[in-house]
Formats: sequence, structure tokens, C-alpha cells
Amino acid sequence: MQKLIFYRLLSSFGVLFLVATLLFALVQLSPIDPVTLALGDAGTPEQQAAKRHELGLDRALPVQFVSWLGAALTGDLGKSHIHGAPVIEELLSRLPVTFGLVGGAILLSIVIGLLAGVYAGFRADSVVDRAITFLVSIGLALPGFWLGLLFASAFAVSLRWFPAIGYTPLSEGLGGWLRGLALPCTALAIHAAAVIARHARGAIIESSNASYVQALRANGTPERLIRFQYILKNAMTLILPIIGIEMAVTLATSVVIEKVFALPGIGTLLVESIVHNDLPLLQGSVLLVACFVLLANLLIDVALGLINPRVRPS
Amino acid sequence: MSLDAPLMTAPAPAPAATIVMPDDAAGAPARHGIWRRLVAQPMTLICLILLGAFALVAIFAPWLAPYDPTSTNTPIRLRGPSAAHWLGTDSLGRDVLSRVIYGSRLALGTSIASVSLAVVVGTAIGLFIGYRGGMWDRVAMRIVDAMQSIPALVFAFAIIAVIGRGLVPATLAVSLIFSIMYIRITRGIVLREREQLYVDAARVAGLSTPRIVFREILPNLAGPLIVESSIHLGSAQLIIAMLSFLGLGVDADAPDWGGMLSDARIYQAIQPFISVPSGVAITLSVLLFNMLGDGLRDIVTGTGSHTRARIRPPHRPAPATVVNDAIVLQASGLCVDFPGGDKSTFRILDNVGLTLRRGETFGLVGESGSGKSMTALAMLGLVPSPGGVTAGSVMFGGRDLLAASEAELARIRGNAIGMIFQDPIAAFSPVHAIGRQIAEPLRAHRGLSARAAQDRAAELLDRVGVPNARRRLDDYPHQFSGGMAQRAMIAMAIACEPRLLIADEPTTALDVTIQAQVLDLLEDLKSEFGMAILLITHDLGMVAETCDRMAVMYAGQVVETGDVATVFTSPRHPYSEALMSARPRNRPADGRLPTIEGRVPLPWAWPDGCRFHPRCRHAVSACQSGPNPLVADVRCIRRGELALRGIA
Repeated sequence: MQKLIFYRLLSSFGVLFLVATLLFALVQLSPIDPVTLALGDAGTPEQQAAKRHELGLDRALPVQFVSWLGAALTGDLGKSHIHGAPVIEELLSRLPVTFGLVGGAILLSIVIGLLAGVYAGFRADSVVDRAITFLVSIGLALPGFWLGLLFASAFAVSLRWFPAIGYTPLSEGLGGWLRGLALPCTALAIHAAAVIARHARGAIIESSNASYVQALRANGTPERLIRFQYILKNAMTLILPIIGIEMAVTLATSVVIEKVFALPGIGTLLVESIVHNDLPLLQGSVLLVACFVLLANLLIDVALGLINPRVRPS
Repeated sequence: MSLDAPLMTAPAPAPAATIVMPDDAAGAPARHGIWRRLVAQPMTLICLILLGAFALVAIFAPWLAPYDPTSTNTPIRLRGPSAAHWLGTDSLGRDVLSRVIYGSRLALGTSIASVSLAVVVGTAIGLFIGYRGGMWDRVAMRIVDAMQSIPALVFAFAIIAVIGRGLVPATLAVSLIFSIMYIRITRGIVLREREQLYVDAARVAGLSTPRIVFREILPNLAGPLIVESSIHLGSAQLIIAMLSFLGLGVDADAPDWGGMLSDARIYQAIQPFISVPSGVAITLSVLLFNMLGDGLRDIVTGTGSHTRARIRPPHRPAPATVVNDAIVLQASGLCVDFPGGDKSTFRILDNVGLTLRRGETFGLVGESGSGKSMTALAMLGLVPSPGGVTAGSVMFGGRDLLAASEAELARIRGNAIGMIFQDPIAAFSPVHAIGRQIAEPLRAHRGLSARAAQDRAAELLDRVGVPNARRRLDDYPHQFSGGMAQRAMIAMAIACEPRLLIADEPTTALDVTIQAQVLDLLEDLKSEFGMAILLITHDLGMVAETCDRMAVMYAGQVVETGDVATVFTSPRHPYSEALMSARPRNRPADGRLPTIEGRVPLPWAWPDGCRFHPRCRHAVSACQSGPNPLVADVRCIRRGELALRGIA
């Protein structure tokens, strides 16, 4: 198991390096000149040259890349133009919001998706299965942000059960924090829950038709054990990778949900960085997202390794 | 790029049973198959029609829209639905219905543009790296991996940050996301197809590489690509709508569904209805594309998700029990039906009868598709859904297993009757230790504790000849060789010392040397436990060596039963004779392997009269129709009048 984690970590760092390279290349390809961005159009050629030297942009590209990468490794992702603060500080201050929103939505989608999908799979072709399959189709097509708007309109504006917009930090009380996140988390979770349910159903049906199920049944294993120990565990090896993908998708979609509910998270930062051409901020937030996705993948790989002996390196 | 990756890898609906049923009993030519299946799936057809209507709305938007979608009229801003403005007005007093109608142009246009560009770019790159392989493939796939570690939407952000905001950049960004998906699936299919014989044949025939790639491999991509594209069209719409909602996509003034929702966000506290029209429009169109994709997938893969009613066995009174100590199991009149296409059913087992005596090995032989395995499954009440036993009885231990409840059957399976299977490694769950699985019957039937069951499992593994039995309990199926796995399977089946062991092609998947060892083991166990063995096989040599009596099956019927010696030396059914003469050791002087012309017809194509008559060299016109009952253990109207050759 430690071996598995070690190898996966190693490959994660490899991918992270590639992502960093792509991000660096992206900035080189960008038509935006950091010097103009820093000085505006006002700078004299001398000032511009001085700024260029200050930012290290007069050095050779590989040198720039190595120094940027080295700084990034120590947590120095440069300075945000719009906020004037170091990118890392901005990111860290927004992290709790995104963490609560995305973490809550992922938990919710896994619970709903697994329960619905596994139940439907075991009861394939029943009335309940058809109902779940229908709801899943709708869930796959619903844009989460529209759902968020409807939720806000119904439960916040009309019924006043929840706040319509804004974020209440956890430090101001658990109740307020939960109430603030309830609607955005639900709106964000629906799509992922539908995807997980759909795949869980398919995985259960696929595993139910496997030869070993017939062999276990023919040799007297009780149906309850076959279902909840054998089929479920085999199905989980198919469902876990999907959950990993949905964790990443949920993080990405949180950007839109943050806008609907005016939550000050990483997503808002990301959109700001694009609108205001704040390249260091963009690099930093994308890098953070990539880190999160790789971490999610690592978690899934470890879980898969625990379940499936075949993926453990010997 | 992972927004809809899960849809891409969706497992196809599982096959209904171990046998594949046709949608069309008459076997229509494949060309008509697609259309026929489309008609058989009304939902897919409806989706296609609605999407067609959607396209028409987009094309004829200027004629359909009651107002100019961009003309503002602030005095009537934020109105609800009215006779003049069916869907109300937006924050600048623009007609929402007109904006929704015009919005279909952008929605359809951007998604089609981005997906078709992605198809062209992605398949081209995928074909190239898949076919060239080597360095190209490795480098490209590393880049693809890195790109896929960034979620689709964030990836789009990064691209938009470089190439700027607006309709065209958003479309390009989405297109790039999807091209990476097309690279993946195309490469996957090419890698698979490259190994196929027809590609080798084309290469040997001297066809040029481009010709092989475009003429031979590309056509195999069409089906999967159409399915993916339909679902990607829906996903593309969702992503573009999100980008517009965030103000990174389509210009705010242009009538666009995502942009309209962005407007709705600000004003919906004043006019709650404002978000409904565009939200419904997005949901509906994505839903249609998704459902179309699912339907097309079923059509392309041929796994119709349309369900057939499960065959339910009729309720029947238990037959009078004749207790005869010499008989272990007696099946008579066993019929198994599967539902066919249009409310018809196929009888895949027809009136099968077998009598197994105490301590004997009974061989059940026949070609693939003759119904041997189904007979065994039917005896244990394990006919795969949606099939079912519709007639007959299986007397075992003084009662009819077919009339037994599921709970009673569960007490018999693995206890009084054990069963082993053809592919021993697949017969164990890959993610559970072997020892635990062998112990299941012991825990279920003997009520042993986990520890005691493990101890007993170790003894059993040792008994069936698995070295280091105790240590191997914790191993998983993939750590076993085929022969060892079959020994483990045997250990599981005999754990409770059953009176009958059903062995379904127990050695077919094994090496020849291992086959003999497994047969010897079964022979030893038989005398040790005094159990009867039902040996299902197509290997006559094995029957000759191990069996006392045998039954020959053809097309769902038993055609001859008798002592092994008698059937071998003087077969009475032409099919038995044909099987004997088709044994390699009976090869005639000219050295060619004898075969039986043709093959077992599929259940929906069984001929009238004798089912073997089209392949029978003794057939006369009377064989083509009329009843053909089993008389004196032979199902042949010409029994007795033929001089059939056996094996001396």
C-alpha cells in the first residue's frame, strides 16, 4: 500500500510539473504584456525596460521558467495585479469558502448518487428503477447554476429559509455556516449525484451478471451476502474512478455556483483573474485546482488499492 | 475536460442473459437492422424529431420570433408573461420569447461548431498517434494526461485568458476540450483495431498506411464517434452556457441562453419568472442530446435497453414423489423459455429428461449451443433472467426442485449439489480472497465461524492438491493459475460433501496436461465422497474415459441416452454417429479432420420435424415435419432401420 501511494505521488508530481509547464507556456503565448499591465500605457521606454528587468523578463526563457518554478515550489506565486497582495495569500484566504462548498457538494453527491444508483441497479427494471433513471436523466441535463437561481428565488427570497447570497464564516457559528452553504451545495451536487447514480446503477448490473455471482449462487452463498459483499465491492471498483472525475468536475462547476450565490471562493478569483488579465493570479488558481484534482485522484487510487488487489504493485 | 467523461465511459446496459436474443426473429439483413431498431426505440426517434424541430426553430428564427431580440423597451422592463410578450420581458424590456428563439441559433451553432471541429482535430491526432505508436504516442498521451488533470471548465478559462473573451474564443476553448476526448477514444479504438487480423491482412496485401487507416480502421470508429458526439453536443451547450453566464462567452447583448440567465441572476428577486424560459431551454436541449446519445449507443452496440417481460414459471403442484435410493436426480420434461422480440418466446430447452444414479458419472454431450449448460442451470433454479423454466420437474432427494422456494433451493445449492464452471478464474470474485469464497458454502450450510471455515477451507484446498494451501487462502484469483483455480473451485463445490457435483466444461479452459489431473481429481473425489457427477462437455474422449452413462443433446433436446459403451459402439441417432466420426482420432486415411457440416442453429431458427435433419446424411422427407418424440431413448423416426457406425 505504501508502495502504491509512493508511486502515485511520484506520478502526480510528474503531472503537476507538466501542468506548471503548460501554464508557463500559456503566459508566454498570451498577448498580454506583464510590463504594460504593471505600468499601464503611461510608462516611458526607460521605465518599461526597468520594469522588465525588475520582473526578470529580460532573461532567457528557460531561466525564467526555472526561477518561476522554484518560486512556485516555495509558495511564491507572484503578486496579484488586481489585489496587490501575494497570490498565495489571496488563494489561502479564499480556500475555506471553496472547501466548504465543494466538500459539502461532493459528500452530498456521493451519498445521494450511491444510494439511488445502487438501489436502482439491484432493482433493475422495477418501477423505482425507472423513476430513478428518469430523475437521473433530468439531473444530467439541468444546469446547476439555473437550479441555484431557482433555489435562491424559492427558498431564500420567497420563503426566507436560507440567505440568498453571501458567505458566513464557520467562525461565526456552525448554524449560520451550514445555512449559508445548504443551497449552493445542493445546487452544485445535483449533476454529480446524477452522474454517480447512473454509473453506480450500470456497475451493479454489470457486476450482477458476472460469472462469479453465478458460481457463488450455485454453491449456496446467501443472496444478501452476494449483493452487499460481492457485487457491491466489485461494483465499487467501477464507481470509484467516476467519483474521482466528479470531484474534479464539482470543483470546476463551483465557479459558476459561487457567482450565483456571491460566495468569495477560488472560482470568483479565477473569473476575476481572467476578466482583469491578472496572469499570476490565473496561474496560481489553476495550479491550485490541479493540485486538488491530483489529490482527489490520489485518494481514489488509494481507495481502489484497498478494494482491488490487482492494482497494488507487488 | 472531465465534464462529461463519465458519460463517455458509461457501461453499456448489461446483456439480458447468457444467450443473445435477436430483435427480429426472421433475421432481417443488417442494413435494415439500424432503422428497425430505431423504430423499436420510440424514445430515440422522438428525440431525433424534437432535435429536428429545434434545428428548424434555429434556422427560421427571424420568421418565428415576434420581436427583434435586441430592441429595448425599458418602460415595460421585467414584465411577466402577457398576451403581447408570452414569456415576459427582460431587464431592458426585450421580448424573452424572441430571445429564447434566437438563442437556439447560438446554442446549436456554437455546440455543433465546437464538436465538429473537435471531431476532425481529435480523430486525426488520435488516428495518427494510435497507428504510429512509439514516441509520438507516449509524448502525446503525457500531454493529454496533464491536460485532463485540469477540469474542463477551468481548462476553458485558461484558454480564454490567452485568446480573449467572446463567442469565437469560447467555442474554440470548448472545442479543444472535446478534441482531447476524441484523441483518447480514437486512439483506444485504433490500438484495438490495429491488432485485428483484417489490418494484418491489409498490410500483408501491401495496402499503404493511409489507406489502411482511412479505409480499414476509420469505418469502425463511426459508431462510437456518433454516440460520443451526441452526448458531447449536450455537454458543449452546458459549458458554453456556463461561460456566458460568467461573462466569458457570448457578448451580453446577443440573445444567448447562458447570458439571459446571467441577467436573470440580477433581477430575479424582482421578477422570479425571468430565469425560467432560458433555463428550461438549456435543460431540454441538453436532455434531448443526452437521450439521443443513449439511444444511439443502444442501437450501435445492439444492446437494446428495452426490457422484455421476465418468463415466470407456472405454479404447479408437486408431483407424486417416488423415493428410489438408486436415483440421485431425475429431471423430466424440462422446458426453458426466453422472451423474444415481440411478445413471442423461444423455447431453448425442450422436454429434457435425465436420470442420474447414485455414484455414477453421467456425461452430457453436444456441440456449443445445444443447451447443456442451460440444463444444469435449470436444475438448480438458476436460469438467467429474463428466461424461466416453464414445464417439467427435477426430482432430487424426494422433492421437486422446480417447485421449491428460493430459500429451499439456497439450502440445497452448495450443500447437496455443488457446481463447478468452465472458466475457473472468472468464477471467483476478483476482489475477494480465495479462502473466503471457498468458505462461503461452509458458513452458509454448516454454520461454521469465520475461523473454523478458514481452517476447513485450508484442508479442502490441501485435499484438492493446491500446494501451500494454508498460505494460499489469502491469495486472490489473479494469483492462481487456471488449473489451481479450478482445484479451488472444486474445493468450494465439494466443501459440504454434496451428493451430486455438476461439472460444466470443467477442463475446457485448461492445458491438456492439467485437464488430465483435474479429471483424476474428480474421479478420486467421486469415490471418496460417493457422489454422482454430471459432466457437461463437448469432449467425447473425456466421456469415454470417465463416464458410465451419457446423453447426447442437440438444439435444446436430448436425442439419445444410454450406456457410454453402447452409445459409442453402436449409436442409434445419426447425430451421435456424426459426433463419433468427428473425433480427431477417427481421422480417415486422407488425413483431413472430419467435421459435421453446418452448425447448431440458433433457437429461433430450429427447423420443424427433426431438428438435426438439415445436417443429417440419413434424412428422408419424413424427417422434415411431424412429431419426433424420444422413443426408447432415441429421438429419430428412422431408429432401428439405419446401420450407424460407432467406435469399435
